[in-house]
Amino acid sequence: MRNDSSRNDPRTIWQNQPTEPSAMTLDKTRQKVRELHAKTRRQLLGNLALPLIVVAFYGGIRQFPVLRPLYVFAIAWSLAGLYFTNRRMWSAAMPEDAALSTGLEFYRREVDRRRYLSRRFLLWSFGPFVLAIAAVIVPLISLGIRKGMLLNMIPLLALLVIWIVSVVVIRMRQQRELQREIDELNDIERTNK
Amino acid sequence: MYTEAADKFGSSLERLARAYEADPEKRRDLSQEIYFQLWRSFQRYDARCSLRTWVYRVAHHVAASHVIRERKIFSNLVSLEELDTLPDKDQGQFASDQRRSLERLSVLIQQLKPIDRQVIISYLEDMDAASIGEITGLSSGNVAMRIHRIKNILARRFHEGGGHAE
Repeated sequence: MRNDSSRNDPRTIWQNQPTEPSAMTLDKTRQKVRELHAKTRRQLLGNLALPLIVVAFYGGIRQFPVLRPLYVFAIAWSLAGLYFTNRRMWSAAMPEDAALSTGLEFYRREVDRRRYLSRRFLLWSFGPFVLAIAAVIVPLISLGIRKGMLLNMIPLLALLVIWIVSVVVIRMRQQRELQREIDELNDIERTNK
Repeated sequence: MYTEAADKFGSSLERLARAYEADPEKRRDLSQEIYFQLWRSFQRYDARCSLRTWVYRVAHHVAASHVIRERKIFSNLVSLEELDTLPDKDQGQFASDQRRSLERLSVLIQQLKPIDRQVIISYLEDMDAASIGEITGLSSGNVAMRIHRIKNILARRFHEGGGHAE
């Protein structure tokens, strides 16, 4: 502990802050392992939800055989997406030898992985979902035109379009920010040499 | 090895968690995650680097992942260079007590991008430039430049303490 005259020294302030050490006991560690397993199972089930939702849309297009190939394609796409999105997600757990990497290397890898997953989401999860929605909406619109109810459907369609555009815009913005972060890390690496 | 590390660096790791997470509940989770990953990591520890470097690397890696996962990376984190040009909201007000000074310091650190955060935390933990370089992977020149900026920022924002920040 430093003397009173240096009480405004940031390092003294920092090092003298009250802490409650919470080192994990073996029991707590085991509990953490169980929690991680449960979380992994929940994530896997959550990811299975998308193809199931796509399958649920089938009810909406039964009467339109011409849309069936589109629908089958959406299911195949979402299943492929499930594989591609998860393939790298399972390597997300920090490797035991991660400490062999420096902070710069590890952070760069993490940002890069996040960018990869964000791109995969648009291509392999959101894409088939939008296609499945389209497979349901198209017959609904044709039904609305035939029964003269298209005007009533406009608010729903507008909300759907706004939602789809918002998701794409937000994801694209995140992609740009991640790319900017990677560029900055590249600059640091260049000045490091 | 894990017990030794947890005993020796426990307080530092708690401070590190505070530097990355303001919310007490999330901070507790982050702390536990750090200890858990530390426990896992020792299966691969081969003394190629010092115990301290190993512990801090693991802790910073977990915390950096936390920053990305919590999407804080999208919430306008700044570099030291940018922070240097930002006005201090508390300018002119001396922090009358330690608690308030600590809050100001924590807020300042939490604005920083992960790499700069690693440097300032290591600096505040009294590490020398070589150790900081070993943990972060920054060259000695890069670390020196960043420490110089940190000293300027801290001296300006913690008026009286500036003279001690060396």
